[in-house]
Amino acid sequence: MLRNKRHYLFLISFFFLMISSVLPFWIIRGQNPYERSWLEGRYLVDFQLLNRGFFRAMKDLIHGNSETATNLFTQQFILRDFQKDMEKAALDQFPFRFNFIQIAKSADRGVIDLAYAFLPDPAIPAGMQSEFFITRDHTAILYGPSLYEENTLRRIDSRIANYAALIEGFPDIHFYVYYIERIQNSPYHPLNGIAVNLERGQYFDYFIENAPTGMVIDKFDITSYEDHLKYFYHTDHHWNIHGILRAYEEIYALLEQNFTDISEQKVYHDFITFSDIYFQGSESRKSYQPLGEPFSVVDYALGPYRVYENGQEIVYGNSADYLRGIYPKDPYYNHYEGFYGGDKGLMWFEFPNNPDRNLLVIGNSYDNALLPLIASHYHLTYDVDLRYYPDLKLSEFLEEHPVDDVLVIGENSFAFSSPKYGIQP
Amino acid sequence: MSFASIVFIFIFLPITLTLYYILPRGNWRLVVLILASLVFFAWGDVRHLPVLIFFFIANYSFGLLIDKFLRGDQPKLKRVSMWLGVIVNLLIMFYCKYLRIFGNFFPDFTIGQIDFHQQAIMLGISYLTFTSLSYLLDISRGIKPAQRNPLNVAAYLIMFPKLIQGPITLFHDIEPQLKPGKIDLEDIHWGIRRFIIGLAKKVLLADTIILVVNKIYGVNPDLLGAGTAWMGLIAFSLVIYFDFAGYTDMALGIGRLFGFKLPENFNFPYISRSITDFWRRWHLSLTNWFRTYVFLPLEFARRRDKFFRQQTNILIVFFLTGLWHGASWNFIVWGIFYGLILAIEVSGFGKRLKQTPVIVQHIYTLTIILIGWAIFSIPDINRSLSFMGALVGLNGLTGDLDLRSLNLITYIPLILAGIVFSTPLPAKLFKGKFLNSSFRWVLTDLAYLGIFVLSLAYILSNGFQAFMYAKF
Repeated sequence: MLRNKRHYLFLISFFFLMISSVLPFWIIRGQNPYERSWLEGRYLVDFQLLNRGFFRAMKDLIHGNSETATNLFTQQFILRDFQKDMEKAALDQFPFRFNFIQIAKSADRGVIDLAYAFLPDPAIPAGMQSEFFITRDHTAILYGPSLYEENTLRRIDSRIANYAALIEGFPDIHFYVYYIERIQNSPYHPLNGIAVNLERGQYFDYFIENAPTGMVIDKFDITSYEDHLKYFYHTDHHWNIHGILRAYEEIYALLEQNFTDISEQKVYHDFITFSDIYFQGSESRKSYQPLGEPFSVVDYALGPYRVYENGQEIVYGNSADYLRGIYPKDPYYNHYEGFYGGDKGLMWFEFPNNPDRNLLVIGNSYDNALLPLIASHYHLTYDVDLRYYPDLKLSEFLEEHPVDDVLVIGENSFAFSSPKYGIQP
Repeated sequence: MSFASIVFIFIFLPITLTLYYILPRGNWRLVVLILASLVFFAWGDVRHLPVLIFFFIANYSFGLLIDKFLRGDQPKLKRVSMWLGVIVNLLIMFYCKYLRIFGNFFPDFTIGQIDFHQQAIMLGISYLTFTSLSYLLDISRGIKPAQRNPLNVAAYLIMFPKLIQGPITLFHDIEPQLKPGKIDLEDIHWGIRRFIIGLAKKVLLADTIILVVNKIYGVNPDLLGAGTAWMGLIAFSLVIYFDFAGYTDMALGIGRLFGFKLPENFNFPYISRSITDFWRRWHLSLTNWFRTYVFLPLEFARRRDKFFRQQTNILIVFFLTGLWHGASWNFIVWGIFYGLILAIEVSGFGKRLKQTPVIVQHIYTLTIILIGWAIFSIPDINRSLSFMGALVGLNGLTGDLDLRSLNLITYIPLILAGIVFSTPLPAKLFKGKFLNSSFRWVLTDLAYLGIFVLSLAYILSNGFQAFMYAKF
């Protein structure tokens, strides 16, 4: 079995070169030049770990704060925050990390292609660990169709009871639900014909059949797969400008039912498409599929208004900058968030020139794009993102804030099915 | 610290190996190995570092004590000190592993400040205890003398390649290697190849096939059809094999880089032709330990019993094997299940089985193994029964959740690859004479480097996952 040394040295030298070159790379490079990974939508963990833990603890100790130092030391080293952060930093700061990830994703895709080679499915999984599917013609990335579970009906019952209690407790307030039907919850998902036990819109049907009296409900419905492609981004779960405009019109009509002197609908002039933006949405980012699409918006004249978060006035969204041509060009940058504004737990819009009628919008990131438009018809518009306040007790909020209309905007879980975002009375 | 982590491969390992290789052979190298092992352990479980050190002190002292009485021809004192040592080791294991489970059974029971429910399980405790017991028992039996050099004892007990998840070493096997000698290129080359193969088993197979397990085991088993349930069970069987065998390969490879030849733990267990054969191929170091220190002494002690002696001894050993994995019903039932099957096989069934066609032997063995994993894999008894019901088709062939609903089609090539790689077939194919020796050698090494890069890509893409057998 013995070979000459040459044979052994080939593998040995390459292996040791590989494993021993990373540490010097980190040392020589010093500070990590990249702080944020747009692809992953998060900040990368860096190696400034001892500064956060050990040195701070030592400083506390020197200043006589032995209890703080002990707590910090315990949290960092005994409860392993330091070790965990170090592991994450080593992953995040690895040289050529994205090239390696691309290799892994390519291998994953090879396995998926092999698995589906002889199947007629119109869409196949976008990644091994991904919940998304990519169409065979590589034009869109979709969530897989949602499964139907009997238990969900009990959750919907529970939400209906909550809504009924609120309507009864606040008879002077108008309650609206605007349900966003997404492709995975609809009867039109391209994979609906293949899998069994799928939702296909049954939850909303159940909700509408059992909805409490006094609640005004409408649905952003899609009537075909082409509808989905028309109103939603092809690589992102959010609605695109066509969806946003349609939703605004439908919500306006909804609110108009009890708000007869509502101001005129806002009108826009032209679509603006950013020629140098190739929008790669969350589904593209999460599945590492380099698909993208043009990014279009419209510009409205909304009149003077202010936006507040935690009592402080803020600038919500960067639409003005975008329209002046100032925006990031990085691949995978989240332009939906960049243009319209990111998620906020609680904020409110004030249109000082409008009559004294106030709205509360409860929802999630879908409403980010709509808020200024809807708020332009009210004096104050509060916006609560349920993800930040899953235990929201709405009656308490309504007692503390002058609200005339409550509008819930969202897909299944936010509108009626999730126990986590229950909208407690 | 996980062997399959960036911190281990690219920080810990090169630093430790560099120090180890540049220092002169002998005690200095043992010091490096021991210090590295302490860092390795503390990285994952610094709270139990004092226990680890106590383990060393206690076993070193008991070893000297037993040796002294053995040499002084004081058998009673030798036996007392040996039992005392064994009890101390077992008490530490009970404290560090079973106390929390004890707390679950007796929720109101407390002693002082000890909160049984919060009691963290010490990393590698079962492996460490059995390694320590081997040390004391080998000295007590006069097979090997106690080590005067504390570094030898510390290195044997806590050397990091085998500290967390074995293989469980017998002192008489390792003792001759405790004076680190020359490490030649062949050893290093072998170690690297073995490490890469282990990494690939863990990262490319176990950590991807586990997605199937998570999906199928994550849903209500009453909704599973027989096909999906069997797919989940086969996936679990592959995951537990590749996870554990992958770790062992890495441990053996790293051990060899430091000049130690650690014992093998697996020999293609899923090609076994009987359950007796299976236990000669699965977790060999544990089986070997039980055979050496429990089964053979029991056989000797009960040599005059004629009635079901071997069968009852097997049952005792496998009850303990189940208990070794944890004090929960699924492990104990799993152990007893195997004990019963083995008892039946040694009672004559095994001989009859050998007379059947090979395919029948494989089908029988794989069925028993899969049933065993079904018991092993689900700690909740009601859920386990529901899953068994799904396996026998109580919910029909497809159930409410089929392969497409759970998006499992993707993983079929991986499962097939897992099945192929759990047999010796790929190695046999590669050893074929289709290329000349030198070229094949280089090509093989290139393939190993390619596998290493691919494994690395998967670690960076998915993060690293904990090893399943580390919790035992």
